[in-house]
Amino acid sequence: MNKELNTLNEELKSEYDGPILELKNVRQYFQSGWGKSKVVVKAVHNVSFQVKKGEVFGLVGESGCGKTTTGRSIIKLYNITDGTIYFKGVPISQGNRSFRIKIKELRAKIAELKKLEKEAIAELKGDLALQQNDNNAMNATDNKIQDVQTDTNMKIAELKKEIVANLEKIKESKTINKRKRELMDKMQMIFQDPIDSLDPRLTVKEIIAEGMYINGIKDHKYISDKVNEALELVGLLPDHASRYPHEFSGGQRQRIGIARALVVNPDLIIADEPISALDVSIQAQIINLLNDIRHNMGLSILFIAHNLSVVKFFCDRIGVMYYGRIVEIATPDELFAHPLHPYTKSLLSAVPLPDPDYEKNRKRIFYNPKLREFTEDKPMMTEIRKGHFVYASKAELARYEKELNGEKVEPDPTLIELE
Amino acid sequence: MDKNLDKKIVVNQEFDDTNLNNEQENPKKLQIKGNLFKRKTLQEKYPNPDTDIEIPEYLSLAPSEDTILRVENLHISFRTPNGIVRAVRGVNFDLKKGETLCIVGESGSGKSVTSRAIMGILAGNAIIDAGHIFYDGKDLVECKEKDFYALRGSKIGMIFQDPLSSLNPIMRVGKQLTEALRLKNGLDRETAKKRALELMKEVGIPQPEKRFKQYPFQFSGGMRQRIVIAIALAMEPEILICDEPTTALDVTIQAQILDLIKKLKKEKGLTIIFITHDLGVVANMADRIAVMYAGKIVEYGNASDVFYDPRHPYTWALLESMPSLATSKRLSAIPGTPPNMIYPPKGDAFAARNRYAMKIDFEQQPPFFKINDNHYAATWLLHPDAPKLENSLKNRYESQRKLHHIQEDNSHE
Repeated sequence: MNKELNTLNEELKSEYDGPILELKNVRQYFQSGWGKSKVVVKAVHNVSFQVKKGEVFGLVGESGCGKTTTGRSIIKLYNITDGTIYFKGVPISQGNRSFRIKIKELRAKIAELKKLEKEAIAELKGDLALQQNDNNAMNATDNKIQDVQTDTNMKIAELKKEIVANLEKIKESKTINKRKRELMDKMQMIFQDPIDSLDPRLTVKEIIAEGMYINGIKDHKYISDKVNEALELVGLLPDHASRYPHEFSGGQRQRIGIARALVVNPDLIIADEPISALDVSIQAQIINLLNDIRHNMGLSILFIAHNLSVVKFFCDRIGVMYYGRIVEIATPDELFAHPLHPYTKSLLSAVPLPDPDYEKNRKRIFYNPKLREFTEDKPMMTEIRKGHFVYASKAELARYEKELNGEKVEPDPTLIELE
Repeated sequence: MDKNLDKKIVVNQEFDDTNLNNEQENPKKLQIKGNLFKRKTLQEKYPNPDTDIEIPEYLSLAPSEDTILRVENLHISFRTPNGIVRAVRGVNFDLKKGETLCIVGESGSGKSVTSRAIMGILAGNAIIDAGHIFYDGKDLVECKEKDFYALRGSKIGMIFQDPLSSLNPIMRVGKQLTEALRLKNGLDRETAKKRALELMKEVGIPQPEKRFKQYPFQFSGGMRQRIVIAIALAMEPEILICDEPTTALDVTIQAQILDLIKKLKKEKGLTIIFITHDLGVVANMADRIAVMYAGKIVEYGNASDVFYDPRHPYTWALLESMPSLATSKRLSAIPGTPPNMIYPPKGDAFAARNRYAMKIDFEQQPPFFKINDNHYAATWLLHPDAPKLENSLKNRYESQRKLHHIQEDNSHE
């Protein structure tokens, strides 16, 4: 175990230039009930994206679309069902659903092969009964039976090998899922609710220092220095360290939450709607604070929000989620200037703006996914322009292409204009 | 309130007179003034020193015919273990028939308290120090609980912020809908159900027959809010108070709910008081806007005036601190936090956070200055002696619109 950790540390020390976070085909399913009443909720459904170093990646979507679940899966609050998550190039969690499905399929194949073999042999044996007088013919059919047997045995052996390989992958994913504390320390989370996310019975100092205590740091002077440093970083005073969370206002509490995340020098912060619960006048303060910290410390942030104007202002790239899938990824300017996916369009049309004249003439559009046809033409995540990905079928891609080139296209059939 | 005071004073004088007559016989009695055995009212127990604020110009002295609700010089305090919180400090507004008045402000500015005072559902520790709420020829401040029964629901309806906590979790939605109809209109079960199903259809709930038998937890957030709206509208009120009805919802659902409220307003001729802190929503809904800060209205006017020509520095700051879709520079946040209303500031409450604060802001509360007939703001910056300022908001709208024109052009293509 120690050896593993050491090699891991070396990996960490060497400068890693790739994307700091990478999700590959991540699925997160929740199931409840058994037997007939079993319900599987596909909260995150095949999501892949990367967060580059020093980048702020925004995830937007309506509530229940799986954006918070994605964030929580990344920081391993849930064990993912399928796919792999890489943090700084190291796989940190892997789901084994696809392997298990593969094994099931292989086993079914084996059963099928055995069934076919049985049928073939039964047929040949029937022949045998007819050929009782002809020795040569009998020998030939015997050989045939043997051939069939060896053939299927070989096929089954191959399939079994595959099964073993998949079983090993499942084992491997178990070792991957073991918590790598040193690595996971570099990933921290800021929660949505500044009241519920702070323990009311701990002082601010204890809240902020908890991460360090867990890491086994016992030097009290070091800890209090670090706490004070973090407090100053987020715009609070060192005197505040001895107070309790209820003595602070909402904005200040959120600052404490940020200080707690920053005190262990993370590389990636997952900010799960950090400003939704705050007052308008305080929201701007927190956004500015996050912006400063990010530039000063070279942090990468996964910013989960539903307020599009904040996301546009703060993020370098935006991923739009809809029902567990990412439907569009682009830079903010590109996304707002050329939204392609109908859901993105309807989301943009719903953003209220502080401009009465615009608001009174605004036309809202509504996205109805039932009107899309995917029976033959399966949709795929495709890069339509550099850095602009959209989840679309081939026919749709052709239309989007036209739209991007400024040609006239028929209005999207899935979009309904409301008055 | 004033009448009461007069009566009390008269009583005291009489008492004093008798005292004066007996002065020589029993000098000790001189000390006693008023009835010692009468319980002190909360107002007397916790007196509010600054309740005499002159009524601003925008409340014309004679209320016009289309005014259906009028709030005058309303002061509300709360007794708390830490002291007396002055939540509302002199709110004045008129509500005209058929309009939407948006009250904007951050939490703690007293906007919800004002609306709750209108409904008569203030918390037990609230004290109405002074003021009047005139509705239908009555002063709601002096209304007893019994009188409010006739008003709540049937005259004034209310929609609350959190649709989950404003519905009873262990009662079927249908029962909650028909409750008011059965109790107040005395409808029998079947007609009440019929009416409830109509209401559900009106607020856009599909399959009302099936939904009628379900519990609130089986509804999504948007659908729950629709149910709450249906309940509020069951008795066909004249005024609808919406207390942050969309804060708990996300943008797409929010837009749907706002559209629904607008549609219902048109169909039923409702008058709406809409309380929110989201300026985007305000722009969508408002005919008139009252910006509140620290228990006072600081700017009051037509929607277009307040948005395109804001005069109070707090309104500027609010507008500037929202990242628009066109902002690219650093956000100009409002520094600091709202004042502690246990110790309300002496001068302009916003002065401590105000970039443009002058000396007088810290000493004296600004009166309302008239900008035009429909637009007033309480800031010393509008005083003729104050320095002239240019604000940067104009550019903002232009750039924002440019961006949207690009977007609109695209969508039309």
